[in-house]
Amino acid sequence: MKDDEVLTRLSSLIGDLLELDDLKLSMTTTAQDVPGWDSLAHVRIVLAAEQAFGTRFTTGEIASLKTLGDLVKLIEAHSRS
Amino acid sequence: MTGDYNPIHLDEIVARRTQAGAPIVHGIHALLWLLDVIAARHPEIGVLASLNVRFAEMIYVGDRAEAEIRKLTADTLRARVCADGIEMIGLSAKRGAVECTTRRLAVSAGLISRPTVPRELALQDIEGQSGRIAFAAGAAALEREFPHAARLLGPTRLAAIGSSTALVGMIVPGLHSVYGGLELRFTRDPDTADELRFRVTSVDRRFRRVLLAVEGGGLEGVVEAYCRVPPVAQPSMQSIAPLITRDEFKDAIALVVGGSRGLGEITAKLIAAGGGKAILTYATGKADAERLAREIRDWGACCEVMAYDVRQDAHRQLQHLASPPNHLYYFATPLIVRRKPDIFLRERLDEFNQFYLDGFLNLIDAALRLRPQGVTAFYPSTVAIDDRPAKMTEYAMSKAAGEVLCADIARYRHGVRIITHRLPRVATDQTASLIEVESKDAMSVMLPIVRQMHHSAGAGGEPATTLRVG
Repeated sequence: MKDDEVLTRLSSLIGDLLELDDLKLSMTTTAQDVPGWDSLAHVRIVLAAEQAFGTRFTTGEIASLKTLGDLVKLIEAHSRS
Repeated sequence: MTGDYNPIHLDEIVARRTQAGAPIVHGIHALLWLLDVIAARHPEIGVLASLNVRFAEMIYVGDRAEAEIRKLTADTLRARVCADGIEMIGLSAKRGAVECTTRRLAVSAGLISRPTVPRELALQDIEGQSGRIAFAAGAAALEREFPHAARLLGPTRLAAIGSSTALVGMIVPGLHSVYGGLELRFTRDPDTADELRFRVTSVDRRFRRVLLAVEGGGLEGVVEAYCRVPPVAQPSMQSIAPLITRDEFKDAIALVVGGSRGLGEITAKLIAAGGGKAILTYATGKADAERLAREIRDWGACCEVMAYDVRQDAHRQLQHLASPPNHLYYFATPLIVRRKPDIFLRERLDEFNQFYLDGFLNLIDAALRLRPQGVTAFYPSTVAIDDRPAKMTEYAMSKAAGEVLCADIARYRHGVRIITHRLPRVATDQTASLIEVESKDAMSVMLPIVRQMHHSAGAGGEPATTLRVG
């Protein structure tokens, strides 16, 4: 999977969860940049990403996520293993 | 009206030791209010087929909340409750016909009698929980309180929704619960029993997230809840004592401001275990302070308790102390992490400055009046100055200013030695979060500092100014 493809799917997923239209996200986007991305939303986004990409993250992996790019890379790493 | 007597809503002292820091409004109460406002403004709405609710932020008792309808079409309703311009509750609903229920939730047979105190369940005990709870005796009052919502949903569904907060707050997860949200489908339930059936369907230990299937009173769906990390319990005197050399701190008369819990609690215990005298202060946590003092005295050490508010005149509060302190530990703080609508709020900075700057300087000056030969003080700074976590701009700013203040106090106030440390995230009530986050324990952080304070106070020659490690 390429960065762009994962990012596009995540953007759609996050937009649906947060009920935000025309969401423009990048690899450097952080939770603070997105309205409504609070701690509860973060849990739901991670769970939705797991379901969408058919994977499961460890507690340590989740704690290491600082940017959307980190999540993209993590998903790609899981898809390769 | 709902039977949810969880102390996070009712007890200021208990709420103080949770992530909320102060009593919060029942999310379900705010939800029913929102539905009541919507139904009152738009009586033409008719029937709702489903409801999806997210409790995004905690609403504090005393907050001013606003109901906002964001979208209303033939088939969709979106609304929210806001406070300080921040969304507290998000709601989306489908308008349309109510269908017959399609299932019967399998639960354990017994009717759970309503506990008068919340059950305290460990995460591992939550899996597999199921049962039935009767609607609260006061459920009829919900209809009177929210008449328009009762007309919109039906009084039985109102009572069922109300019961869900008792389910979460009193039964599962119980005492350490947070209500995250709910997804409901309204049904024509042939079962007229006034009860809510529930079964835990998922426990995700990574997030301490609990999903409960619920059914009854004309609705079925899923409740999302979280099992908070319980308040941090600091080590006992029995476990601390072996780590301290006998009489290691015997010369210390230590005023521990904010000594009733967290870093203050562990500091008071360390000093007492080392033969020193701990005078621990509280602003609101009198019960916690007295409990701690009893523990220290029962162990055989010396401890006093006094009320002290850093926002009030320091000398007036300290002038009657029998033994002027030679060591000061300053842990006074307002609630640190709170929601806010923008990256910087002047009033938030002012509040932090009142505690971290004015309160500290006042204490130093009052202590010097009592003990002109000098004092040694510990001022806890923070790694947040470097790390810059979200929502902590004013906190980091004020602590950075505090470091400058400490350096100048030591420079211009004769006889004052100040030790500052940029403390890492330490497991205390102030750092409690929804899920577990890696934190240092208070003991490993404070023991070297207490020793440093003691050695610094005993050092001869030029007084140390500001020593900073970390």
